[in-house]
Amino acid sequence: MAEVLHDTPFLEVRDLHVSFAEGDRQFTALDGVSFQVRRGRTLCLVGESGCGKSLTAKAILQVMGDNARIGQGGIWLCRDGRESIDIAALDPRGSAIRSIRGNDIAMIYQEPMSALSPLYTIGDQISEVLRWHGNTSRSEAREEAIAVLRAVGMPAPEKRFDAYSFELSGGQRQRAMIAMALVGRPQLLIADEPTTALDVTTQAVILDLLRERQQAQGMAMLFITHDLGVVSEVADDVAVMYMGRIVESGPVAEVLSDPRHPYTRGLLASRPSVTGRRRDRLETIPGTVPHLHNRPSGCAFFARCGHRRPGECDRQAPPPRQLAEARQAACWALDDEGHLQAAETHAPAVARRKPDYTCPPLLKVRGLKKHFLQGGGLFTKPRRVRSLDGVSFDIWPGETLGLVGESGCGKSTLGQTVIGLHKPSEGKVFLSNKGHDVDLAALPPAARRRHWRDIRMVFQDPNGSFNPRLTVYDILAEVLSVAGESRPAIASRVHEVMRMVGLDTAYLDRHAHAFSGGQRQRIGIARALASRPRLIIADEPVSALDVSVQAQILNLLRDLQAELGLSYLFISHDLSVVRHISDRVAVMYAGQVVELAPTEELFSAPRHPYTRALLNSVLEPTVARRTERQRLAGSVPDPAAFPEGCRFHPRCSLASDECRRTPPPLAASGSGRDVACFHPLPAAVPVRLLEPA
Amino acid sequence: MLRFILQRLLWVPPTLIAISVVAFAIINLPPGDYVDRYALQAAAQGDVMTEAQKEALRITYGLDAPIPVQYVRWMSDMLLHGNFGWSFQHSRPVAEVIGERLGLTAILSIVTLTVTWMIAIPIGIYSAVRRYSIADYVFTSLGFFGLALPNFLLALALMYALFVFTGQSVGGLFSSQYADAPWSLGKVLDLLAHLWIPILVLGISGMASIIRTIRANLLDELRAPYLSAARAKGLPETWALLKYPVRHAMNPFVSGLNDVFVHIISGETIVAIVLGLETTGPLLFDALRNQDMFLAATLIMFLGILGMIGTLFSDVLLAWLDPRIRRQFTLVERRA
Repeated sequence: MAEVLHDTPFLEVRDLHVSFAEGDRQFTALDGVSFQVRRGRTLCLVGESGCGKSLTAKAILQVMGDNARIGQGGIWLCRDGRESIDIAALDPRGSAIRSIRGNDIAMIYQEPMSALSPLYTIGDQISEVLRWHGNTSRSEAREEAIAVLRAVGMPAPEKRFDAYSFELSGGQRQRAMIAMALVGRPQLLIADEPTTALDVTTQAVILDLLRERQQAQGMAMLFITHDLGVVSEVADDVAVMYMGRIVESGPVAEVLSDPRHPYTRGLLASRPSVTGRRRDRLETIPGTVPHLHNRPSGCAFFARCGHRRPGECDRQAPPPRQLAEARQAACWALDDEGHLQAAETHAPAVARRKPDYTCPPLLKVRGLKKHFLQGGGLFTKPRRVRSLDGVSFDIWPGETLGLVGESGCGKSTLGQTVIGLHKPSEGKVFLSNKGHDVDLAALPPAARRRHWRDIRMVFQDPNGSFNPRLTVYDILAEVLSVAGESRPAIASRVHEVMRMVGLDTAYLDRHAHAFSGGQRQRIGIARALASRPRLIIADEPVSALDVSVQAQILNLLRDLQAELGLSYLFISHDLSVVRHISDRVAVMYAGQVVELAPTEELFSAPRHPYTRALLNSVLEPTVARRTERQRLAGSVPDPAAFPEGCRFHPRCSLASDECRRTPPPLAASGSGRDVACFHPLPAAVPVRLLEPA
Repeated sequence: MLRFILQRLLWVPPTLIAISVVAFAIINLPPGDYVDRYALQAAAQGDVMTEAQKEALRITYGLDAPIPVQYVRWMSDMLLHGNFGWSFQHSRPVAEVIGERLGLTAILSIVTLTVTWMIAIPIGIYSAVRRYSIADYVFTSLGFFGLALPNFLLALALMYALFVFTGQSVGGLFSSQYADAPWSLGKVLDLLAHLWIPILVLGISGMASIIRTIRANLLDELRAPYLSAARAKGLPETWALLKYPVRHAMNPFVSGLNDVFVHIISGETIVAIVLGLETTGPLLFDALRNQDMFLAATLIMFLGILGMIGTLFSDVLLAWLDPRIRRQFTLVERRA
């Protein structure tokens, strides 16, 4: 039976239009979307934020919100042995759609923390699906919910049934969310960025789980993501969305290896990679996705396209063109064979400046510790949280040191402690100053203030780090006026840094919220540059940005480094970004550096098992490599109760008795690399990930 | 949880002592005492008191002792004999004066609060869910009106209108024939006939602010992904709304309940004065004006106690409603 049903469409979206009403005006958000999701297969919807991916998912369940309306088009659901039904024509509050929701089609939301209510146990929220959809008794529903929790790999499911979402780890929360979607045995599972909020290691485990459940239940899956690496891992078919239209679609192998639409190409090219050649600059897609209010006429991608043909592309939107069976692209610039003409690229080469390792280091961190006391009250002893537990490294002038690790490993605390936002519990931070090393950690606050200008910070969320009442000028001028510079000197410096980061000085009197995410991050960088620092600590500076904008910012950071000889401490969970920008990389685990090596060596032959596990979890948009991988089980240990010996040993396949007893020291292992492991992997054998495809 | 409540209760006695000291000190802040004020009133009626007479009066009332001594006497009487002192103005023990008003005040306030919540919470929910509908605009406008209009003005206007149109005087809580009569069915009916005016007056402003709070809280919650998730699970709309966003929106409301008991007793003093209600509000007001110090100090202390009970009540209620807070307590307990 499964054979017969396989591959037939379960859901067919035809020419779907959705618009938002704002006051008297209508704004088109989905502009004729068509695709099929077939039984037992996974369709990935890809695109940057604001392209309409999530809206498409919500339209299928009719949970879009009050001001969104479906215009033309249909959403046809073809259930076995039943007549096809057009979801778009159903009343969103009616009983017909309710019997479909959670039952035939279920959805996994991006942020399990906010999609699960903290006021009810996860068991309650999972089993209520059953209680509303059938005559299941409370105890039967409980049994079944526990069974599903077990199937999604939740540890101790009977106990977790009565847990609240805030008591679970990120990965467990997402498992609970998945259980909530699967408990109704849906035939179509919609997953909206289900792994975006997770660490790479957890992401890999969750994607495995989804695939395994899909095979076990024979579901169709609509998978929404912005990450082409994830696409290559999960998709059978891909549909690339831009401003409410599908611009290219087809089987995943063909789309990723032979992209036809300029937008698909741009997405692929602007993504740094953990394999392959390292590029000095990333190709970018200029600009950003326009707001719905400013939808261009003609092809929506026109303004950002390197293949654009003025007078043609901006007149009329290109219709989807059939290139092969099940393969479409919508672009005027395709030739008769459906290939894209060569065009300009946005990656002018720049001479890269190598850091000078012969001169003394700019920053020397030695044995840095930061312990926090947590909780505790009249009758309770506080917990000692060891966020940083003995970290040492150097940064040379003009060098970028990348810092990677799972969330909770202490990377952000490290950056904040180096810059002085936390007072170190122990250890030294030496800054080279006119040939002398000054220990910043030992300086009294007043003396420290003089060195503030030398080390500046760029934050992940530029919006949250700006005072919304200040204009851009005030934001940039602040550090200079604190330093007591004269007004004309401040004004000229502010204009200078605006030009450096590629922003128009006419914007100086605007407020930060008037800018797009990428522009805001440019302002954040300009603010860091204003005081002519020597070291910039960048804490996840591109994590909140779309891939095309991320490439623009990474290029900017590179250019600034070449021009000004800056050093960066670049903190990120994204290994491909770290590989792209760093000269050397430090891998952190449980408050300590476990491996530190030149970038190429670290990525081509990791020596610490943890580094290898991290690299194994990275997903790359190349199709040929959907192999069985070793997964890193478990999670980062509680920083108030680290395991004895090597902190990684409970998750390590190589762990020996020695590892369980003694913590391995970070020791030099040749060619400028340090590893903290009793059983380092051989330097010569590359990881499986790096085998040629 | 139990441990948390016990811990809180341990703090009650020291806080009470602090409140009583402050209350007593405040009463004694203005220059002069009850005897001065009494002499002034007597003088206004042409009856001039000599210094000797005043001094004798002070000795009778115990006002000649230093203030700390008076405080200690008042406290020890209260703790040892349950005696809250003497009301000069009413020439009766304080406990009696307060006691006879307490019951009515509580009835009035509790009925007002219940009616206010029963009407305002559903309206707030409706207003948020059907935002920008005609009904929302009507309720919102009425709400602003209620917020903007001073209570006592509304009370005056209502009394005037009722007098003009029905010829009925509506002040007080009882008609004159029942005022001093013992409780009977007739007296209860009479009370109900009078009660609706203060309830209406006090309710309108209370309702307005509750509607605004609930509406604003709920509007934030309606955007939360867990509502969308609940709909996507196939829950009926009303159930999904009540179970998720409405329940979430109640939290800030509940945490604001700490002064509810204070309100029950203090009431709206000005409205009570305008409407001639015999509640504790006007009593405190008069006591303060006349420096009837034991009456005033006892009332203030009473309000302090109720404030503490209210805070404990809302904390416990919040912990019961919100597992995040509940688990925090149990976590602390487990570690301790």
